[in-house]
Amino acid sequence: MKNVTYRWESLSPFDLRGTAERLSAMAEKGWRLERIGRCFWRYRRADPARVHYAVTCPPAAGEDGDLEDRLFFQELCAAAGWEVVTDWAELQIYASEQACPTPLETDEALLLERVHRSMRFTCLRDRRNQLLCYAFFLVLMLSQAFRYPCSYFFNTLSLSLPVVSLLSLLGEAYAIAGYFFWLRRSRRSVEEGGNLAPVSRQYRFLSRLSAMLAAGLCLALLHMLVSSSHPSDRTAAGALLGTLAVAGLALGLHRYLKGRTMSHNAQAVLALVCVFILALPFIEWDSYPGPPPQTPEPEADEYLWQGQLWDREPREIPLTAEDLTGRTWPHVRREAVLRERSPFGSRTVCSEEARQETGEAFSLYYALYDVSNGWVYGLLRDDLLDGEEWAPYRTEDPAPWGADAAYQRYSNGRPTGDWLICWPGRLVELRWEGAGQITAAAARLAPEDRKEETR
Amino acid sequence: MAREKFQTLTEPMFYILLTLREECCGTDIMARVSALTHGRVDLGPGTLYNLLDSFQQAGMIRETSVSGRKRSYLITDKGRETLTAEYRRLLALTEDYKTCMGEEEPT
Repeated sequence: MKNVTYRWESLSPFDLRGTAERLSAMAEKGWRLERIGRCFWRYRRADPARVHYAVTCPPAAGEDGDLEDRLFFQELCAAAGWEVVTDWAELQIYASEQACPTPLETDEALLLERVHRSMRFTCLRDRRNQLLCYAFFLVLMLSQAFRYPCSYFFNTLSLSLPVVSLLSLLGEAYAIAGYFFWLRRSRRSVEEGGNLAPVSRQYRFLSRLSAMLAAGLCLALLHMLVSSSHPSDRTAAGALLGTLAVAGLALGLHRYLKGRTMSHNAQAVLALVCVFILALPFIEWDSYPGPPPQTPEPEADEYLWQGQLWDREPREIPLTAEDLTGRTWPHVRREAVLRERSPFGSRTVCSEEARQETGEAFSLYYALYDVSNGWVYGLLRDDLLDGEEWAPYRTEDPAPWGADAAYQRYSNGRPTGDWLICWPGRLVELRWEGAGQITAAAARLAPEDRKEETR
Repeated sequence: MAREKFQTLTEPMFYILLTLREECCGTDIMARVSALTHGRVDLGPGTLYNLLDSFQQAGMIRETSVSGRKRSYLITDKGRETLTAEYRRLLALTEDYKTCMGEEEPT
C-alpha cells in the first residue's frame, strides 16, 4: 500500500476557501498535504481525520522581508493552534486539528488587501509576462508564415505552434480577467460585511479544462514527434527538447538565485546571461565543424565508383535522368524524401546524380509541392518566384508543359536549367544540368488530371 | 471614496490597542482580547500580525522587547489618541441612539 500520492490540483492561489476545503476533504479521506511542487501536490497517508486548513499570505521572507518576521508570524499561528504545512508560491498553508480553531484570518478586508498585494507582485506579474511572451511568439510565427510559407504551411508542427500559442494566450488572458472579476466581487462582498467571494465553478471548470487541454496538446505533439519519420519533424523535436532542457536549467537557476541575497534585477540579468550561455550549444549546433571527411564506406545496397557511392538498385522516383535524356545511365544515385506534410499539402524532394562510363555527368533535382488550398498555393508560388535578384524567373510559354504557367530562371541574361512549373494543385521546382526534354518532364511531373494535355 | 486609514477602528483594531495599554506579546494579545470580550471577538493570528505591523508603521504602538520569537508591544501617545477618538465616536453613536430611541432596550 503506497503511503505517498501525487495529485494535480487545478486550484488558483486566490481560491483560498476552495483550497482549504479541498485539503480538508483529502484529510478526511486519509491523505494529508505534505508539499506543493511545480506540477503536482504530494499527499502522505494518515489516519482519516477532520483537519482544518487555511491559506494565508505570510510576511515575505528573503530579499524584501525578514525571516524573523516570518518566524514571529508562525509563532502567533502556533499559539492559535495552526501549524505551517507548506509554502505555495508566496502563500503559506496552515493546518489545525482543533475541533473549532480560531480562524487564521478574522479581518476579510485586510486579507483581501494582502492577497491582492501578493497576487500583484507574483502571480499576476508572471501571468502578464507569459501573456506577453505568447503574444510575441504568435506574432513572430505568423510573420514567419508569410515570409517562409513553404517551410511553414507544409509542416504540421509549425502549424500547430501558433494554435498552441493562441490557446495559451487566451488561457492567460482568461486567468487574469478571472482574477479581477473575483477581486471585484470580493471587494463588494467585504464592503457589505461579508467574506471573500468564492471562485466561481465556471472558472474552476475552465481552469481545469485549460490545463487538460494544454496537457493533451503536449501529449499529441509528443506523439506526433515520436511517430513521425519526417526529418523536419525530428529536427523540430530536437529543437523543442533543447528548448525544454534550457527552460528546465533556467528554472533550476531561478530557484537557486531566489535564495541568494541579490536584487531582482541582478537575478534577472544573471539568469538571462546563463540562459544565453546554456542556449549557445543549441543555437550554434549546425555551425560546428564536423569530423574531417573520410572515404565513404558503401552500404550493402551501394557500391564505390570513382570515389563516390552509387546505388546498386536505384529507387523509383517520378522523373529520372533516363526519362529526360532518353539514354541509359549505368551509374546512378537517387534520393526521394517527403520533407514536409500537413493538411495544406506536402513537399517531396527528389534528386538524381547520373554518370556514364566515360565520366559524362547529368544531375537532376526537383521539388514537388502538392497544395490543397488556393490561398496557400498563391502564397507559395509568389515565395518561390521571389528568388535571387541576380537570377530572376522569367515567364515562359506553359503550353509544352501542359501547365497554367511556366517560369525559367535567367542568369546574366541567359537561360538556366531552373524551372518553376505551375499546374493546378501542384508546383514543381525543377533543375537539371544537361540536355533534357521538356515533354518528358511534363509527362512525368504533371498531376494525373493534366497528364493527357502533356502528351 | 476610500476611508483614511485608522480614521475609524474595527473591533480587532480597537481591542488590540486597548490591550496594549499594558506591555503584551502577540500571544497574550490574542488571549486577552478573547477574555475581555468573553470570546465574542476572535482575533486570528494572521489578522493580528498584520495589524501590529500596520500600527507600528503608523506609530500607534512600539516594540518594547524582543526575546527569541517573542515580541512585546506597548501603545504610544498617538495610539492612545486614536483609541480615545474611537471611544468618543462610539459614545457619540450611543448618545445618538439614545436620543432617537429613548432609554428603551433594543429587542
